[in-house]
Amino acid sequence: MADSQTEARKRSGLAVLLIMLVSLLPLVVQHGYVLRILIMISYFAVASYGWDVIGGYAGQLSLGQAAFFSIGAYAAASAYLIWKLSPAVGALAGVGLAALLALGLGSLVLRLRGPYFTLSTLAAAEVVRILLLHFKSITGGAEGRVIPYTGFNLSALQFATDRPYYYIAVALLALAIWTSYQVSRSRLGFQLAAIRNDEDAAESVGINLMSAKVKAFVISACLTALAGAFYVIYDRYIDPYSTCSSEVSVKILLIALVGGRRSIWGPLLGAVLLIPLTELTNAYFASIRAGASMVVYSIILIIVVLYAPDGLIRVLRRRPSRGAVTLQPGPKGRNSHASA
Amino acid sequence: MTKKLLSLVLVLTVVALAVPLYASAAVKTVNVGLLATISGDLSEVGNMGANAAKLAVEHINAAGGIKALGGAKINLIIGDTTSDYSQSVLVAQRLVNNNKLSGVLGAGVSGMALAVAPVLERAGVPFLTAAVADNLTQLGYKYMFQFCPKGSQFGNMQAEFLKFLQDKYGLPAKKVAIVFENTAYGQSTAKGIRQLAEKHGFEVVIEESYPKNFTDAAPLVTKVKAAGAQVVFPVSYTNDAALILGTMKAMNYNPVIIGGGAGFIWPEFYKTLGKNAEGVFSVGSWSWDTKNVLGHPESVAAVKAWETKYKTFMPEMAGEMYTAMFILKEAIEQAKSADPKAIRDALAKIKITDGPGAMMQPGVVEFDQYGWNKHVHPTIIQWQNGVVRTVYPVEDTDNKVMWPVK
Repeated sequence: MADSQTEARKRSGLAVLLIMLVSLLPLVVQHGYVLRILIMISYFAVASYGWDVIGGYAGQLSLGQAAFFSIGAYAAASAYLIWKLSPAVGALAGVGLAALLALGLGSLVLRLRGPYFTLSTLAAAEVVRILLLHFKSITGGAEGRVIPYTGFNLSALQFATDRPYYYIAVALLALAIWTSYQVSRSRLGFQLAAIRNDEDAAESVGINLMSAKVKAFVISACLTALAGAFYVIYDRYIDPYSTCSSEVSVKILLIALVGGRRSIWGPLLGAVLLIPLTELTNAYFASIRAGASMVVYSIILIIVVLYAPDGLIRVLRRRPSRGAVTLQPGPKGRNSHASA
Repeated sequence: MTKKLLSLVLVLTVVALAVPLYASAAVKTVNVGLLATISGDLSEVGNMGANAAKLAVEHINAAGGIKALGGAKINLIIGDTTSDYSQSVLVAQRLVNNNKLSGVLGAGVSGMALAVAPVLERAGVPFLTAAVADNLTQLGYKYMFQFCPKGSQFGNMQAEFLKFLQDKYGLPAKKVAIVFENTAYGQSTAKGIRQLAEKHGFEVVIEESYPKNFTDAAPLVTKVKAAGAQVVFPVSYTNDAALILGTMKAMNYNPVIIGGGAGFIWPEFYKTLGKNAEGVFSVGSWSWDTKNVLGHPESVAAVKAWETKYKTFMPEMAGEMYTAMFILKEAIEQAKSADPKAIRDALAKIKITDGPGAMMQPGVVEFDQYGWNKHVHPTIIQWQNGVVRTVYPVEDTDNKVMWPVK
């Protein structure tokens, strides 16, 4: 008992320290480039925490997160450009829309297991992209949407420097980490763990598979849409090919994979490493030979996946995390028989 | 233990690589940034642009640098934007932050230009882009200059040229088809073609878009052939262009082809298609053999230097980046300063009518209040004996159309 109290005190002290460090960081970092990287780390981590709920905790490999990311982004942009609303309102609408999509789509495709589910999420993202290309009057079609910079405007979330964006991004990141933490220790989290290990066994002990999986999918969609909305507010340009592509889905997934799934710090660690890594390999190797940067990047990824298949967070930690014990994948044979 | 060591090494590597980025280079020269898609999907266009910009810098520096600044040399800093837009924004930010830039060239892909523009605008660095999207200069950016034709002008020129073929060569065509890749570039070009074709009394029998980098053009070509189109306007990058044209030949369908630039005018097109490319027309932002280029010894030298070095004619994107460097150089001369703000103001009121800076057709560069080169117009080329030759507008060239097209 005393042990857990000191532990808790130590943790809250650490948290306060972390918050102070994070909020003071932009005062030290005057370099706009570094600040931009920090912001990118934050919003990609948010999207990745979103993926982790369905892909990590629930063990359902989604390759369609770009759909939710785009819905968040397009909602924020359209609310501002067409209906003259604050993009913050649009962001909330986008989160709502993404939740609805996840509910509808999830009710259908979460009945599928393993690769069948993965393929249908991939297809869903393609469908969303085609819709974005089709409804030109709302989305701008292939030409995309530009949010012109009109000077400081609080309701439009336009700021002259990157610092306010940094704080917004960090706040969103905190929300994402909190969500991950809540999921991991909630009833839902335990249900998901059971499902992940063996769907049939989970069902036999009375877990409502669909209800739990759909809930996870909705939470996942909300976080990812939030990241998308922030992305357009910050970068001010979207088009269907750059925001709703499988590249975006894979990037989101890789961050969690490299950092560590089902972990409160995994996606953040993944983003902290991968986002600067993409950029640094580009800065250093791009001039050597076209594509060299991507080769180096890929080699590093391969090494990580080979030596730390459960994510770097588990390698860096001395003891395996609480979740790690139940990490072993369930008996695959039985699962595939059941779904066949 | 090994795993831990490895992860530690990885983390340390990232940190170690990051540190020197802070160290800024000594500012003795005039720094010019270039944003190009060196790797990824669009590497072909990016590399042509980067090579041309390097060539231009070589020529400028060899000729004594920037005279108004006591012969200061230009230092070209190339950023590989890859073909990923969010990455390109970061690369732009890196160039701006780590160097004292007097200007930035490039981002010939419209989406990319739209993505990086806010960064350059906020940093106050003049940005010369070769992207063609219509809406680029309608966004109120003060530092962005679009020195090349706009997408909708392409269609205009194609329709005009079709009329010319009809009047001068008796082309009987009435039925036209428009085929375009479903991207910003494809859409805005197609829009222009449709309006103008109808205005000139042609019947657009079919208008089909296709996804970029598709793998089977047969359904598309079948539709176009079935619609009875005598003239086809395709808007594509190289892979798709070659695929569509190859499929047409395979189906023994030989309409007059007036391509929408990009893939239809780059050397790679001929390498892929060989003889099948002969006679194909295309619109383009720039071509190497018009009067305004061949009429000036320095521009001729540029075209020749490219030919010797890269064993092809100087392609569109190369010519554009070469001339962009000279436009910027001219602005620096007139501003008598390396200060980006002063250079921006010089660009806003510049008028170039001579030399490599005026290589864009028709040979005058002057920006309107929105930052668009108001004189510029595209040209029509035809593949003749493995080389693109300008054939239209007639005031730009004395070259003859190869007619009839086989």
